[in-house]
Amino acid sequence: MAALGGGMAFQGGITARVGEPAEVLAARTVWLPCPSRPVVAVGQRVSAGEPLSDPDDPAHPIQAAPAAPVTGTVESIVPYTVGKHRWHAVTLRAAADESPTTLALTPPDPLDRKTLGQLRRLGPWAQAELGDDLIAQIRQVQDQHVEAVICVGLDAFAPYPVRSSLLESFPDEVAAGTRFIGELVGAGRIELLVRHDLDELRRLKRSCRRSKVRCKPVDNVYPDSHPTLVVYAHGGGRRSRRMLPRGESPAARGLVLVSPWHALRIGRWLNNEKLDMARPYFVGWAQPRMPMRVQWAFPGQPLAQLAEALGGTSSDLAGRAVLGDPMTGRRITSPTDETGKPMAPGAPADELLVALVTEPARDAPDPCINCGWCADVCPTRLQPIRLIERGQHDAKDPRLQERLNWCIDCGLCTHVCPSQIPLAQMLRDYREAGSKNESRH
Amino acid sequence: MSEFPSNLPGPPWLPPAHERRRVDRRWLLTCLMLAAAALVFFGWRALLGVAVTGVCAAVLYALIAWGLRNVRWQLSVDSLWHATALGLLMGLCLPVLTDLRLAAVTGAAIGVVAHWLGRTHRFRAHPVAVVMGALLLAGMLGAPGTWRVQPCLLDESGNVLRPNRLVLGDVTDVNEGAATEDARADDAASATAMQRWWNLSGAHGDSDAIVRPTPAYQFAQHAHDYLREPDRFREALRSGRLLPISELAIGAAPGAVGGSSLLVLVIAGLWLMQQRIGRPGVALSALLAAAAALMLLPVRADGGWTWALALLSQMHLPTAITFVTYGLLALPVPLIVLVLAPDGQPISATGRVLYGALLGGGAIAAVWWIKRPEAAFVALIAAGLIARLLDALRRETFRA
Repeated sequence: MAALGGGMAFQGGITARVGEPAEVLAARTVWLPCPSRPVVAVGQRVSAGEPLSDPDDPAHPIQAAPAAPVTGTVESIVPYTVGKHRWHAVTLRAAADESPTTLALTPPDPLDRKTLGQLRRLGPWAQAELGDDLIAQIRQVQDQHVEAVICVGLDAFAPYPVRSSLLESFPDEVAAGTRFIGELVGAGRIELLVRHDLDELRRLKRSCRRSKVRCKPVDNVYPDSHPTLVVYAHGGGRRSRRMLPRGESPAARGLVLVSPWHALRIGRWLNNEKLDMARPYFVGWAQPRMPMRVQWAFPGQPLAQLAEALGGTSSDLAGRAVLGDPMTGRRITSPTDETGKPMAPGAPADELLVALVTEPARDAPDPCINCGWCADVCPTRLQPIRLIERGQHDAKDPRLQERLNWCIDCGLCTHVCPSQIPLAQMLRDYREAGSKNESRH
Repeated sequence: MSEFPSNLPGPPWLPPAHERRRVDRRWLLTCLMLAAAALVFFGWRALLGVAVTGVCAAVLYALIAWGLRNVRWQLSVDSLWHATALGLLMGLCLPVLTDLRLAAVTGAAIGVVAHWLGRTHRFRAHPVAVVMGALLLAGMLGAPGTWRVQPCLLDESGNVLRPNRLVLGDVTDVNEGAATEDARADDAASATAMQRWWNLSGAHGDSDAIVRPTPAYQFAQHAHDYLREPDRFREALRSGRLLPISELAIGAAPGAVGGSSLLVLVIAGLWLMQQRIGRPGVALSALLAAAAALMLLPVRADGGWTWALALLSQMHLPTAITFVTYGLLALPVPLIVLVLAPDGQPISATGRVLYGALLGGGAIAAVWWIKRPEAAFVALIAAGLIARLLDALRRETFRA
């Protein structure tokens, strides 16, 4: 395995035991973001599992269409823009106070040509932390040799061991789901990356052996689970082939990266002949070593229902909760409805962790003391402070922008800087300045 | 105003792992460690010199910072704590001084230089090295005695004992250790250490005390002679004219009060490495380069020039090894490499190795030609000036 050095080992949190979901869950309204043109209209009744947007939209030919998680009526369709992309927030009012968490469906056959089309209609299969939608990756590798399917069981951020919790709670299903995806794409290798200090490692290895999936225990140094580092370390082949710049899909390198949740969802479908429409959400606390709380909910269900601590209104959540971990997470934002009022934040469709954070008190930055810690810790071997100096001269410098392709936004440089220079934030700003420059040309 | 924006929102939303104050405290602790060793080996006078340089550095630094802020609206770029640590390091690089004016002036010079050179500036020449270089230049240009760093413990005024000291008796009759009753003073084999030292001085007949040059000065002055005449080197060690290597390693070697004990320097250097302020790559490459330089630098012999290695190879192997080891321990190379070098080193691993090699080899080369131990600090100035260029030497794994 190619090792780059860099990174930082954070103390691991306590894994949470994820139980089976209840048969029904209370969900009055849910809203889902649709990347492509909605195929439903306001007032239309939809059934659970029915696609809300057009899976064959030529503007989004390879992404999955989100399926309605509950049976209900379309209450509103609100267009909004995220970056350069136009989305639609489709709000459903559930037909009943409680909705079933699963949908009875015949499990697919990985060797059937229609399986991929079926999966495309049962989204979302988004995996924000792994670089690309699962279905998008599978579509991209359809007509080419697939080097490997890798289920990335390494936690994105060790203090919040979301993926390890899923692996320990459902080892058989994760292994079976990974195998399914491997057979679907005809992968040469089917692997499951896990932390070598996982409590249930032995049980997981047995599950992997049964499913003929290679279990690979490795160190989990943050941010080893990032697609760029996974592809570099486990991609196989020439070094140039293993280099994956930020924003590029692993499928471009002949690899499919799967999150444990999607592998689990497929594995449970194969075992139970029912597809999960709800998913387990983890609430992470600001206090270190405090166990996460797990709750099954529908994607798009108001976040406030997840846990009492999240509060009941958007303003309570603003500034307290982020989607993802404190190193790479994103602020909770929601589109505004027709009246201009922000919609209640919904449980994300591409992330299982909601972390409560406090904005850290930062002193005004001091000058750089050339300690070199940012360079030591950078997992892609950049020199963040030197890039900042170049960016202060010219943020659109092509050489700077080329190097920023390899900045994976892990945030470690900011975290370790003794002068408290906001390195990661400034690099992000330079990257945005560069991409605006590109779009202008 | 800081050159970086503040209050940029996260991610990351974690409190910073380190603070600059912590780094500065580590430097202060290192200085205190060396100062404590200086106190043990040289007494309170050594500590006083260190304290004077530290205080003067801090005062001048603060005054200039205040002036810059009020006159040019420019904030000082480094911290007062770090300037104080630099002042203490300056004092630790000086020998025990009876005239504290030199300590005050060098400390004040640090307080001035630290505003324009050092770890936060474009040119990362170490302020202590710059001031030591200035002292070297002053000595070479014939500055008055008080302002020169003497190769020995005392200044040029000739004072050896203070007025309230009175010594009675014959130094050749001092019984020390295992001297026998019928031992004769001129019998070198049975002479006590005190008698040996006395006998080796130039004018012991009419003198009440003797002054010996530091091992660093002796080696700097006579390294070429020792290579040409290995017997002379062996005799100097055997007779005590050169301080034994064991005393260089343990401590109390005359010279820089903070650099007298290799043991303490290694502990301080290892501690800085454990704190990720010092780097093993710098130290190892510097020491290897210094050893290589001691073997490869040219020496005049038999009317021509030859490599030191050619002369070393003609010695007995133990003598050759001792020569190289003595050079590394006697000269201020360990002090420079282990304690001073980490401040302002390059941030790339390859750069650090080259920085260390330049430092070690350059220090020996400078002493070799200039024949003064303070010349070793010139290498630290040169290495600091190119540290920024060495930053660019980083093996980039990802490149389009």
